[in-house]
Amino acid sequence: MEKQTLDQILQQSSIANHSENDFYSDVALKILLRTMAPVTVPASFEASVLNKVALLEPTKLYKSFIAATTFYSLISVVLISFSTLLNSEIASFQFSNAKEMLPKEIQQQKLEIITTPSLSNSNEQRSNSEESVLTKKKNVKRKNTNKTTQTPIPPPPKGIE
Amino acid sequence: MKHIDYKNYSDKELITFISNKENAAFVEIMSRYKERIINFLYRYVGDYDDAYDLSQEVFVKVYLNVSQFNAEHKFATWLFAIAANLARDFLKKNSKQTITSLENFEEAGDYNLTELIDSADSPEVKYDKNYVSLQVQKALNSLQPHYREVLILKEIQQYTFDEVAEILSIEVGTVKSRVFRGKALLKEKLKNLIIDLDK
Repeated sequence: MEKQTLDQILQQSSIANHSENDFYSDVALKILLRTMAPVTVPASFEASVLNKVALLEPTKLYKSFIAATTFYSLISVVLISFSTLLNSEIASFQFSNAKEMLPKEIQQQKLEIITTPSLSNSNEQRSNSEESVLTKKKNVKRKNTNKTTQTPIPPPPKGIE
Repeated sequence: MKHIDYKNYSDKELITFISNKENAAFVEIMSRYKERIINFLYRYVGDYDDAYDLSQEVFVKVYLNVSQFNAEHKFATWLFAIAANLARDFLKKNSKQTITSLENFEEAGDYNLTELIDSADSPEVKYDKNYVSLQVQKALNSLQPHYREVLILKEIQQYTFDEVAEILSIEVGTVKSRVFRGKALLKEKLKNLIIDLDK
């Protein structure tokens, strides 16, 4: 842009501002805005953006590492659950075999006690048994006291004295 | 490996290449839009270094979020929407710093942009361009950001009202009223400037 042209633009703007016609002032403003000198971008711009992207984007090595660890963790979870299942199956198998090996009388009597389904049940059972023991003891005591009250000691026969 | 000349491809075709991690296509997109983006951001934030950093961020976002681009829209609209969002966030985060930089801008004098102007121009033309640019830039910087962004997009980048509305995610009516009000404010600011020049 030449100096003369600039002066013309400014003059036009100046005229437009003094007049009341918005059209001319709008045109002058548009010219002023569009004749703003553009800022230039250095040639290294693209390269520096690519460097930034490379730093931010996960590398191929990192991606393969993540994929491998995910795969192995999944495999280990599957193996652990399988071994747990196998152990429980073996235990139940051994138990059923052992049960068969016992004599029939013991099978009926003892195994009922052994085959407690869960720990909570066993606790309940234990507390029940403790309670039953206590009640038994109380009953025994009560019986004893009842005995003392119910069967009084007979007085000695008079003839002996 | 065959050489592809990406200059013959449209923006949308280049986006497909970029999603396949073809960096040469990304370089082509950058070379097409870097000037417009940095000018938009420079007019918006009022500082060349910040505008440079932000324009790099714009293209980094494009590369990393290329899968989110909706092919029904224009690439330039999406690109400028990213740039406008970044510039808004930047101004919010650095409101105090921006005020300081604008004060420095005022104090630094009118001719501190010489190195940013095209070096092919003669010294006289450089002087004129610098002078007008800096006066208008000062006036733009004094506007509120919501007036500034519509004026830059509509009057400098020459987008339509519909495109500006799409870029800024606002109603067309809002764009029109902001452009009208922004122009009135800008005319007022530049009128004072021109009167000063006449003296």
